[in-house]
Amino acid sequence: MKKIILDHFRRWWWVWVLGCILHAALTVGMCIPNKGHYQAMSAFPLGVFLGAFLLMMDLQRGHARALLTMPVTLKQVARAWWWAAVGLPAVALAVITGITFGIMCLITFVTHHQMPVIGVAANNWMANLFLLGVTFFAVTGMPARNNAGADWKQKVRGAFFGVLYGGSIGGWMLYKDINFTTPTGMIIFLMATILTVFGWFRAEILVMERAAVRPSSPAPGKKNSTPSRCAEGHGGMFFLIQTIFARMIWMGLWMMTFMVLIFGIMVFPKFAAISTRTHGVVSADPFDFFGGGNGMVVFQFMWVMAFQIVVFAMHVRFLRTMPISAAKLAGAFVFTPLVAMLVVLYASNLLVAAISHTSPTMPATMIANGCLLPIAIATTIPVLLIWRGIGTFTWVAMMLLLITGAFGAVFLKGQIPVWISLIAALLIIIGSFVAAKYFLECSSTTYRPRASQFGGWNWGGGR
Amino acid sequence: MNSNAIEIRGLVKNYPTFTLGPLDLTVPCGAIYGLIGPNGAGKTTAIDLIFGMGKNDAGTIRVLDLDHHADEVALKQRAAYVSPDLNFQVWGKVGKAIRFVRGFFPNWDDAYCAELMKAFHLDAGEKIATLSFGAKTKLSLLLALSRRPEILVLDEPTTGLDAVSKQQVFSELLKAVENGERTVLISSHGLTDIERFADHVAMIKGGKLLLEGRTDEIVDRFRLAEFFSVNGAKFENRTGLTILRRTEDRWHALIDQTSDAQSFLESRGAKDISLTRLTLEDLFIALAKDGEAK
Repeated sequence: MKKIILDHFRRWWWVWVLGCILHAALTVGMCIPNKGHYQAMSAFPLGVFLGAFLLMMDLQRGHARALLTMPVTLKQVARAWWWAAVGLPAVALAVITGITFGIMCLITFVTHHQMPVIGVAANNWMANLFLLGVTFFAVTGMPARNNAGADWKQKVRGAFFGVLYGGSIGGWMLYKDINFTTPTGMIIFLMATILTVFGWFRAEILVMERAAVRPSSPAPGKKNSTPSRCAEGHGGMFFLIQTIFARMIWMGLWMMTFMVLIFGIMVFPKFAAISTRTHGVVSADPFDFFGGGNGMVVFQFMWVMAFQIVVFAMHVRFLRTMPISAAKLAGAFVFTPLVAMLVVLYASNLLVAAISHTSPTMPATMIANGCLLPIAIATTIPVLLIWRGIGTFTWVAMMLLLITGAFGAVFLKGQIPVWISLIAALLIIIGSFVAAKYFLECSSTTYRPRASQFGGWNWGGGR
Repeated sequence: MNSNAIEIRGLVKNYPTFTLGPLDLTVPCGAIYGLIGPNGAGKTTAIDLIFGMGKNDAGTIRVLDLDHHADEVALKQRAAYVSPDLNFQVWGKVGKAIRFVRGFFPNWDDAYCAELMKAFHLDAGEKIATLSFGAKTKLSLLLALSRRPEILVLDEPTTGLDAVSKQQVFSELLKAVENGERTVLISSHGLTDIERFADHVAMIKGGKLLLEGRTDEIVDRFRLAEFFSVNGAKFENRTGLTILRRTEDRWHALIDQTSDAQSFLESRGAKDISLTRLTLEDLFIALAKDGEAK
């Protein structure tokens, strides 16, 4: 068991170094007085990228199958994975928080914080333990292979655990707003504890299910004997754009609705009270309703962009054999998600307006509020995928982009002049298009088949 | 009108750890052309460059008199690529993948597509994720053949296929080229199949072209020579002579019959030279191992 844990950290040491530096930097950020960031930063969802996320990277490469051929028991592998993805990361992050916070207190002689160093570290440990524990539990229930061939029960199960995974990351950013002495807070606390403990016991199921997956074997499913009309209708480029657009809209709306509802339940009452007290009315700008949580919106955009465009990035090789020029394909990869995200943004704005009983923000105002910039930044994700392929570097870079984008939106909200934000957004979008076209033409190395990040993709590939 | 379907001249592609070329290949119109070579030889890179997947550092590629970069879209209208590497899963169902590809090709042959679907036991409503490895390759072939391409490029099409599926794939391929109007470029490790079906063959190793020509002529050109040395005579590689292995005084070498290698051996004291005819696979192994054996 010790060897498996050590092997995990030996292989991912550089991600850990990056994560720890970022975690320490965020802890320093929370020590800056008069910014109110201490509360906001009391729980970073960073831990999840060092826990279940790294484990998933291993799982998608068939690590379970390889490990079970070693002289170790199923139970030993399961326990080792839990410690590597939950137990040890929670402790490590808490220690870093405690040390950084302590040093900052000594340097700045800050005494205004209500919580002692040990309290801050313990608070961080608990937040991360729950976050890592719940996400680990979610991973144990996620489909071991691409869900496309699954029946409806498996799909429901996959969707449930998928929502739990995504929701726990998003929801944990609201950790500061959870009052564990209220009934709602106690229920959340109880659920998180139960799921964390369940994760420990379900780890063996995870190992078993993942070890049963062979990279090139088909997903189980029934053969469809009924005549199908799905081959009919328009195809070609229009069908490609339509498919990308529909997937983005569907997933984007789903995520944004989820976030709006979470905010509506947990943040809105408090925000409305403050807003009413300060201005006499609820903010006239519904999008401002997200307040400091605008980073959440950015995070969701990038999340949707990253995980939907990956599906298409897996098909670049096939798409490059079609009579589509590199410029058109680059355009489809950069501009289709951009338009889809703008539609999602406006739709969520309408939803927020409906919840907060205000009139929706006009598109021009939303752009003036700097909403185009985070979406523009998200258009760099397809470029990253085409440039570097679907590998560890890409995943880590995407995650860093997600995190820095989200925190950047929080810290820089309202601080960048509109014209700079607009010009930067346009430059990034044009740059993404030019870079995507260049990388599509430049080399096929990145979209050669390689170690599978998704069960159904083939292994190997020649030169 | 050029009589060659594909002409590659002085092609070079540099990677940090590998260089393809300079490479010259000529695929005649109507030929079944086998491209063989060990893993990492540069076969897929060469094929990728034909399809504009990557930029060559030097040289030219012309396909049906079209430049592979300047006329990329026109070229892809007339050429098709088949490989088990291609991933169609984003379309969900077989029918949707067909719908997507059909949209690009005005000459798409629906009747032939239906015929192939029947032959390959594929159904439009079937989920791509549930297809076996072989069925995915068949789908790739179906999508290529139904557009009636003038050039068909196949990269390891039979990898992972069982004997029955392999036979099915080749039978459809032969049907597709039987009128001689279609050219096939096939890269494969199935050397028995290449020897049987390909009328031309080229072998690449380490990014360089080792051999190119008609399959029967190439196979006929080389012989495996077994001989003995006397008085401790030593033999080394030279033009037309590739030493494969040595056990004390017993030597095995590959001889190019168009060279003076046999007379050279005799003049240097080689005794009891026996020549054996090689298969393409034997030849491939001998040439691929050259450099490792000594």
